[in-house]
Amino acid sequence: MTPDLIYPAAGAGLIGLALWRLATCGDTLRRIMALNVLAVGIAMLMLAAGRETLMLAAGRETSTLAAGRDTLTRAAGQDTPQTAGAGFLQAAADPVPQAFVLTGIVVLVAVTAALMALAERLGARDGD
Amino acid sequence: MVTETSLLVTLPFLAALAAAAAPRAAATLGMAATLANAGFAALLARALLADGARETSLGGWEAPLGITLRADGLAALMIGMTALVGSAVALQAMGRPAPGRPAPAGGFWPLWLATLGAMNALFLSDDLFNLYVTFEILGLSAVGLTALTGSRRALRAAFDYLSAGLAGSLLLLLGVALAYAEAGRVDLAAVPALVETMRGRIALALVLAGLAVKAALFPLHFWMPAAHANAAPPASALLSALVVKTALYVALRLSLEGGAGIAPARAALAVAGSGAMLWGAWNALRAERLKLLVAHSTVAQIGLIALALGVAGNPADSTLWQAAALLMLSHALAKAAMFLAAGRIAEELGHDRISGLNRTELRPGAAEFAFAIAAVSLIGLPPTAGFVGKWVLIEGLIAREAWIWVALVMTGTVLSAAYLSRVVSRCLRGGPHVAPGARRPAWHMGDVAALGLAVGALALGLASALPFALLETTLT
Amino acid sequence: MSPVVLFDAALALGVLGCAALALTLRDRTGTVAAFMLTGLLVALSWLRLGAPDVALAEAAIGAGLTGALFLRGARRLGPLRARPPAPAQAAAAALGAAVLSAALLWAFATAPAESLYPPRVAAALEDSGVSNPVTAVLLNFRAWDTLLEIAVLVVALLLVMTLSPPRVIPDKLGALVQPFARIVVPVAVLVAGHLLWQGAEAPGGAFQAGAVLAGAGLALVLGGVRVDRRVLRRALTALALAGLAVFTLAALASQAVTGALLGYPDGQAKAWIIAIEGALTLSIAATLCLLFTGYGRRSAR
Repeated sequence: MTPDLIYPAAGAGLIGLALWRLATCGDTLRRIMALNVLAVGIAMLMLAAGRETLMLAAGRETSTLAAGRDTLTRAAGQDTPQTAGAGFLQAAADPVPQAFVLTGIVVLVAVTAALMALAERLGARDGD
Repeated sequence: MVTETSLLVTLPFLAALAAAAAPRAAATLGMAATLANAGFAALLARALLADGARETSLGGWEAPLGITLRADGLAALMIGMTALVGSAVALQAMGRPAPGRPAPAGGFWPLWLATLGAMNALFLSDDLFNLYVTFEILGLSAVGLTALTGSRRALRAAFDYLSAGLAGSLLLLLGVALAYAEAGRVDLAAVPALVETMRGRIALALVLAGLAVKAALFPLHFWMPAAHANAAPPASALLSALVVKTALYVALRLSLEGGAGIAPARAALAVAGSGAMLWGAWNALRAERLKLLVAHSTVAQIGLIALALGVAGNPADSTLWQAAALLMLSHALAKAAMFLAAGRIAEELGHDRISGLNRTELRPGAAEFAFAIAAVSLIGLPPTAGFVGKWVLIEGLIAREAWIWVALVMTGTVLSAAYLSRVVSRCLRGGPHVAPGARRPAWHMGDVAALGLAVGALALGLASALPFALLETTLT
Repeated sequence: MSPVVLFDAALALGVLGCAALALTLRDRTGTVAAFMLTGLLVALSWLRLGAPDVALAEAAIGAGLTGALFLRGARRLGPLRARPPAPAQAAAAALGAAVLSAALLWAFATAPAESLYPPRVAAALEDSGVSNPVTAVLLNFRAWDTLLEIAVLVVALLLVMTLSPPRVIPDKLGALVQPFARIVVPVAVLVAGHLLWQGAEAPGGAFQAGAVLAGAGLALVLGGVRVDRRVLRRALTALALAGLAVFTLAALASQAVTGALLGYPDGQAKAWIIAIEGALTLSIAATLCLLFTGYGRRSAR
């Protein structure tokens, strides 16, 4: 398995796992958790695609992409642009999917809080 | 200079915050903001008719990096529809004392205003990820409206609604992620490129599947009847008339952008739509409660609109999509009128069992009348807006000799006449069925709103030149 | 295979394994623990994918706050009662999910991934007022998304207000958490301030800072500071609502000045962004706190 496939595979796996759980379990808390796992899987696919963009750029140094990557990497506080896999901390990836995923995380915690409040109201009544 | 487009997408949010911060003044603030929004919607439509469609790059950053607000005729029509229905529903909510103790700061008004802001933003949006965020606001505020009554059934429906809505949003987001991986951008201008490849078509199919959950399109409608039937009447009216339309609008928008090039997606929409028409009608025929009947009728009507979207074909060589837009508009007016009227009927009677509508001690009032006019529009009899929409659709289908679809639309029409007459025949009876001393129900703000919307649906049929002129206003 | 690839593979397996545990364990506390661990491992993978801003947010919000919400829910909902599904149903669902996963993997692995964004971000970064590209996207290029995202938080809060779920009443935890809170709260305030300030140039920003502050707030709540005092709750609510108000008014004001909604005046972008981010940090912290503590008048037990 090549390194480019590891994270997309993990993302797809998380999505499959979450969908399987959503299809087979009726417990409210577990469903909410499965939806959270689903969102993490999507985020992983998106960020992996965002990194690949810049890895491709590394292979074609003449493209405008490469210029963009260098600027972004310097901006992210790293002095020399690294090619992917060269060190533990990667060269900065495409910032736009990062912003998408960040937005997604905040949106998801809001929806999770709302779902949990509803589930607790329902669950509390069950006990009465 | 601050434009009406900016005010349409910001003012409702500011008003929602104000209404949440000052619960005592919430109704006044909410009504004022709803009316101001209607004013801006009218100004926008007028400006578009005069000068044509317009685009605004937010922050001055051009798409695909930035986000563009695109105000064309279709968007303006939807914004106008929301403003009109919203004003009527707000009028009804004004006249209705909040049930129980006032919530600390939540309650109807902030949730409605947030819904309004999110809908306006959604109609103007030109970017898939931005659409996802507007859907999330809309999902939460719509669920809040569902849960307002606080009854156990409403809470159960709200939970199912929110989890189904979140699953739909995440499908949409997955589609956006794949669109990004495939086309490297997520604005709607990416759609033509996406149609070209298999992966791009999968991305659009994922987006469409998410939209189908949100629009409650058969067979993904499982969450909807309970949510719409158990909410308070103004909330049901907003959910059924407006909120489900947003997903259909986005589907139409994608199709206009070039998504119509995917034949299997078109066929799936048309088939699911036909299924919805039959399934919704069947359940409406069997429903025992009035609100449940109206909610199942929404399933059927959504089906009709989806069918129209599916058969509309390529917008480049057909104007059938305009029939879908007009059907959305007429359904919004008629369905909001119907839910408000159903709420008033239930209030007067103390129940909403259909078998119990035949009572002799109460004369039919304005609410029953409004229900009947709305039913006429939903069935699609002249001269209502529903008639014009169906006429354009059937005419187009006949012209291309698509007889199966003509037959399906006709069947749907007959079925809707059948289930709606269950109510109308019981509501509008006089003579020997009414006891001599029967009282008339007192007039109420809700009657005015319901009647206004129903008459609006009627009048729109006569003045349908205006929406068609607006729909012609596109970016070229 | 290089050690880095081995590390990536192990990390991915760890994420999948923890997520599987979180979704299959029958013990509620165990599932929440597995979920939080998944969140932390995922944050680590975000670092490996070159997204440190997202990693910070994932650790604070995705693992921390969401985990706290799940713990609260687990305590209130009681033990899992749902029976395991019939084997045939589980197998059919597993087959469907596996097919879908495989299709997604194929689609994402073969997609060209030629983003149009990096060159455009790079070209515009100079005029954006900040040098962290993610902050530039969030608060300048696509600030409209972020404004609507804050609206999502506000609407979620409105929904929770409407529902009035039981308040979190700290009980026996108090004695345990108080000394911890005494250390953690001042540190959190400092960290949040730092994250906010450095967000302009390096990983960090309003969301991460707000989440850290919210964490400090939760430590106070669990340590026994009563959030049920009406004044405090009102102040927090006002703060929570203020973020969206400031952002929206700033958007309109910028249009009055420059003609473009959310278009900051030339040369002043940084000042506008810092001002908006400051308001958002406090507001996000207050919102996240209130989403956790709730509004109800009834007690949890």
